[in-house]
Amino acid sequence: MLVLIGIVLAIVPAAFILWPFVVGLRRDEFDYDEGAPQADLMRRWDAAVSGLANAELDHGLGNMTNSDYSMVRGQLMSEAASVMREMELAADEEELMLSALRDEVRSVRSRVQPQREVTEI
Amino acid sequence: MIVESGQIALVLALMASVYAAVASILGVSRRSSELLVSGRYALYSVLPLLLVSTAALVYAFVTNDFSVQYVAENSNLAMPQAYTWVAFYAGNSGSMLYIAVVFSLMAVIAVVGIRKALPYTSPYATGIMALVLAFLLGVMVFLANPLARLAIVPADGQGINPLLVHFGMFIHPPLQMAGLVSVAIPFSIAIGALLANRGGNDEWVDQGRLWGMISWVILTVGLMLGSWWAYTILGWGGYWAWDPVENSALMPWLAMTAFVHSIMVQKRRGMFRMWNMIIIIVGFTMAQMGMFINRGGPVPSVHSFAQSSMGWLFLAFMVVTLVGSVAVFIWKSDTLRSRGRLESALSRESVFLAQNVLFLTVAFVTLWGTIFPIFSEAANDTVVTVGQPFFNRVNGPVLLLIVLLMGVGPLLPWRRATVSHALRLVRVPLAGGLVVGVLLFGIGVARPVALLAFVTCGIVVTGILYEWVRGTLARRRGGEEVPVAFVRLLSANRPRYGGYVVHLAIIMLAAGAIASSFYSVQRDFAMRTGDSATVGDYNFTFIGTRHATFPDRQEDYARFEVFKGDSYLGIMEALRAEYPAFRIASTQGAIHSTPIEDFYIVPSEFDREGPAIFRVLINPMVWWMWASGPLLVLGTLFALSPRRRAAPAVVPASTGASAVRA
Repeated sequence: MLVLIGIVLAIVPAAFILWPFVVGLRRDEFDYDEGAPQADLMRRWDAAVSGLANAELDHGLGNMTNSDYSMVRGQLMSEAASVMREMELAADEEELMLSALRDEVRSVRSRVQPQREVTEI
Repeated sequence: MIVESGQIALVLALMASVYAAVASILGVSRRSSELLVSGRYALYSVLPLLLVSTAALVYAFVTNDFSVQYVAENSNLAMPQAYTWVAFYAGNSGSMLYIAVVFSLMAVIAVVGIRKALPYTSPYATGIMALVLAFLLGVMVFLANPLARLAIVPADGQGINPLLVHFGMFIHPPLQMAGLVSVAIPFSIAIGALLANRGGNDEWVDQGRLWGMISWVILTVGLMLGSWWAYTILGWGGYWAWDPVENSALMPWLAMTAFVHSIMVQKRRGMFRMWNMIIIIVGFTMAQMGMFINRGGPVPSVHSFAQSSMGWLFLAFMVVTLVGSVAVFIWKSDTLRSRGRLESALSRESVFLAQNVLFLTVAFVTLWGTIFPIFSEAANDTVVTVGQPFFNRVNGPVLLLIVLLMGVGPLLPWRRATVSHALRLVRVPLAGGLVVGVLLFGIGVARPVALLAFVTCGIVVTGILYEWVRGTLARRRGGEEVPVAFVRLLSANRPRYGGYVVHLAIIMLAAGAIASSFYSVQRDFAMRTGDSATVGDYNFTFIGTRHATFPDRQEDYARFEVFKGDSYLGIMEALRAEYPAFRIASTQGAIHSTPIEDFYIVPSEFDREGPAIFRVLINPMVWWMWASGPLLVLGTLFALSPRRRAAPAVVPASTGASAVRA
């Protein structure tokens, strides 16, 4: 009986482990590379968007002066613009990303100061 | 046969984890998807195999199978079955099995979380996690098998360590062990990214931060429960003694606290990439140091329950992983250049950096104090232990500075702030701190250091409340009700405001520690039945003893009638128990706890005849330390909770990242 249990305990995980060799895989594990330049651009884009959202929050709460806010906002906007340039996007894709950025900033601004609308990004 | 099945499962789990390590790393280096997935499946299969071993050990406990050495050593016929959970990890090999099960569960969850987002990092991370598992399982299979049989079966077992028979022990040791081993997850992800040449990309940061915070919160709760257990069950009137085992849990906590802060800077600014690698290596090394000290390290401790002769094995593993990770760090350091740079000393990231350095300073001071007896013995043949005054004197001021930065940092914006604006920002918190100082001075808190510490706490609390009030009022002007405005403000940035809640909890903890360190009153009394005494506002009478006999212990209760001023507080009982089989006597203080202060009676020495000696303490504000625990967990959960985005993440098809983000 113990031998039988031992065999079952060995066979079940062995079958599971060898499954990829037996039946093959539907997709390549390396079809996406987290180190690819495009992925890096997306991360830089995300960092710029969240940086803008943070600056918006800090400015709305009075943690940031108007001049610091303008400077930081300017830096982050040029970073976002540079990322978009490097991405070589189609016009509609560019518009899609800009609209996401506006929504993110508007969302933070509305949470801090609901009466203020986003005038321009 | 069930026990033997568990043994077989244990060996198979070891084989699977070794295969997982080899296949994952070979898979990525040969770019073989099949090998890589097979390695991952091997890691997944370790968990069910370990659950079979766990079930076998639990079965052996429940059926009182004393032919299993571990069961015979850690339970007996008199032990209630509820304590099977405690007995499971009360000894060395059982606790190793527990650690392996917990770690394999965490590893499975972590790998499932990273496999798609980090396809190149994930195999290396899987390989490292599998190696850690292989080490734990190798020790169990070859040296400390929890399912090993005895040649001669005893009629009864030795029983469970009496000090572990307490509610706190149901949670504290498992959390502490889980916390220590959990540091291996963010370590594996970070070193995996480094090995994959992706350390300089920040894709691993989200998962590293997530697991860093999970690890941090487990370590925190474990530490707090340990202090609570020491306070309520060890019965010496205190909660922290800078004991080596306590220190061994504190050191990785300090490193992980630094890590969860600095990883935010990498996420937001692409900076501190080298620094974060260094901190996570330090954190993992200190976590292993904790396991080493817990398992028969050379430093004497009052509560190493899982003592064994295998401590040196853990030390060797620690040295191997430290040397290996430092070598990888040096080898790949050119991939870790920062994207951004510190633009101003007056910015949140600068404060994070300063705070990080201070956290590591406390960690290394604690490490030095902990291992000092080894050096003193080697140098002079005399063991010189470093006591509480050293740690308090050296770490106290640094911790106070950390608390101050905790108040200032969140007020500053990312990137830069002008001096004049920074001064404007700290004006209100500073005023709040001063008000706290004046009020406390008015009620008699006159010791300069204590006052300074409370003022610092006041600055932090005012800073947090000030930001919440400003944000809520801004929304209020938009027509929202205050509660709605407040909740929506918090949800605007959950990591930030969750962090604020955690900071408030830390202030509660700090306030309790400061008050009880500086203003604890302690007196010793020799009393006979009927004697009364007074300490502070408390008047108490020793009204006699009560005796109880149990199969495994003798219990003696000293009974007191206690008044505070004219208010009758009731009968309080302090316990002293003796466990003849273990030759252990334990005490349990009688505690009347309120948010203002605890009245605490320690039964130092008493029997049923003659005078008894009691230590009586009034510990101010200790209640706040325990109350901070739930708030701390809530704050962390809030910080980790996913936020619904205003707009879906847009990933243009042309970036090639859509497959992952969809």
